Amino acid sequence: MAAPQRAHSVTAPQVGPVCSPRSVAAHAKGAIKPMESTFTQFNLVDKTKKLNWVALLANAEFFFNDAQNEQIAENLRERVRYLTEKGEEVEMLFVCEPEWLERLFPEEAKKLRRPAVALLCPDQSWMTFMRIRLDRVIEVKLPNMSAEEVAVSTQQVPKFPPPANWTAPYKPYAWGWWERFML
Amino acid sequence: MQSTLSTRFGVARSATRNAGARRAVVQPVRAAAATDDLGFKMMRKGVKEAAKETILSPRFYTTDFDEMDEIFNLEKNPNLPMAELEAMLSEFRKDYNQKHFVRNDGFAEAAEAIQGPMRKIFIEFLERSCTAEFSGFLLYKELGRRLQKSNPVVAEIFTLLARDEARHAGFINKALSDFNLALDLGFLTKNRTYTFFQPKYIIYATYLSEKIGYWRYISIYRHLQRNPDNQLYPMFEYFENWCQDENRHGDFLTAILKARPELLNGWEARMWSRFFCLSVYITMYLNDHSRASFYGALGLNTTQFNRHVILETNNSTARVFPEVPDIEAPGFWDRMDRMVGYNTKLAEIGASDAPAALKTLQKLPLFERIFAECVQLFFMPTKRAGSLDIEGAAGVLY
Repeated sequence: MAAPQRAHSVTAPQVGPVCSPRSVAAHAKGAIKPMESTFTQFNLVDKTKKLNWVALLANAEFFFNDAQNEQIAENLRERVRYLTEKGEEVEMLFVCEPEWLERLFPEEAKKLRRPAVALLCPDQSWMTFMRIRLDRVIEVKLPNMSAEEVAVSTQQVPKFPPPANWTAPYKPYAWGWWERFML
Repeated sequence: MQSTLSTRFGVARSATRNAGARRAVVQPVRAAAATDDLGFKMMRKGVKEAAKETILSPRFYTTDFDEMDEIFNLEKNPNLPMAELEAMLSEFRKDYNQKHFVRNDGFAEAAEAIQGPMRKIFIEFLERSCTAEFSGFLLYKELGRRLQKSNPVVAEIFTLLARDEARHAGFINKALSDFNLALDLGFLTKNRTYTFFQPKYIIYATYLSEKIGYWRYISIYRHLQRNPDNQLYPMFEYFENWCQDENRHGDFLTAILKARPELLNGWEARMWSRFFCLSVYITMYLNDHSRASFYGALGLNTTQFNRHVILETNNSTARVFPEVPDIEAPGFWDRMDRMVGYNTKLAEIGASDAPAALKTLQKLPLFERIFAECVQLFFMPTKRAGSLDIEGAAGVLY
């Protein structure tokens, strides 16, 4: 099957085709918003606050270009909604090729395809849950560091094309949904 | 139990009451009506008789609760690793979807708009979904009750799983009331056949049904997200948050299996993994293909949708089960498609006017073919799989 196009991001809204002749309840039609527009607005955690971070490491395509793992976007959105409802700061971060990777975890770094990405959060129990879900990730700890320090990246996420063997009956999420979690 | 259920779900009575106002338009009341306009058998006014159970129907499960207690009892298993289970408990306590299942005002209007043959298929879809969710509720609730003393963490998680399933089932049953129907879940509880599985197999079976449930709902949702013109019923709007519950339930069962790795090790575990994967995939493939017009109405190609759901469920499952079918092996989908053909012929025979005895005779060779295909699928190539925590991560490139 030919590689699909990506879903349009909210910055480039798609103008839908003309309505099909089928009887569609007015309320239902279009009520499902594009994924990219349904993230709750949020404030990322204070950049200078020292926290004990947990990181899950894998390669960038695992996190951002795999049909199986589009669920990560759902997990993050769910947690953003939950924290925002409770009036708490959002403390999940993505870092591509973190500066600390080779320096602090040279052994783990050797086991990673590159570019590598870290998903970071100080909530150990949520990260344990994410690790059960993802399984193919390495967990490391970064105690007493600020968001500023853990978020130092040495490379940008490459503009990979959508996976060639895409089997889903829908388009992949728009490239870059993860950027809202990068400092 | 029944009174509790009736209160929890507003079973039947409230549905009948709500339906009353529109009944004159949609479904004329008949004296002693045994079937409604669509040919559904009715238990009583507004309460649908449950669909006949077949080998492909959603199942009610039961298990050996004493043996389950042995597996999780903390006094008998003081070294049971609880860290992952405790993390799961804290996720379930957050109750992400506490405020999610509030109906919007589009349901009744959308139900009115679904007419003709689609109406019947839609009601069947709702009934099957409701039965499946409710079956989860019954099993989890009982497990929560039985394990309360021996392992409070696992017991509380099961109870929270039951909370989610009850919400889902109640939400669907309420949607059925827009079609002037409801399922009597209390009656189902008492009268349905329960399939017995040993604890470890019930964990495999429920893991798969949670994960395949997630992939079905999310695939429908994401398809509708990208194709808003195919969105014909407001329930689909709820699917994204809804199926996060299913996905999380699956992760809890992963944590359960990882806490007792003997459930994942050895050739017997591999055989059962293969068996349960195939049973669940075949059941869905045949069920959905016999209702292709439903998926067609949503703008989905039933075959593409099913293959995608099975592929991704298989990928998820490979993160914990020790072995999964290699669904990309040459010939896998040919066998699945042949079974769809046999199943279609079975349905045609079932709907024909032939005498019952003749029908049985006509059906026999088709059952034999389906059985033979199942056996051959079982012996097709498989993939060694499993959690890296159990299988070891030596040489793995992440």
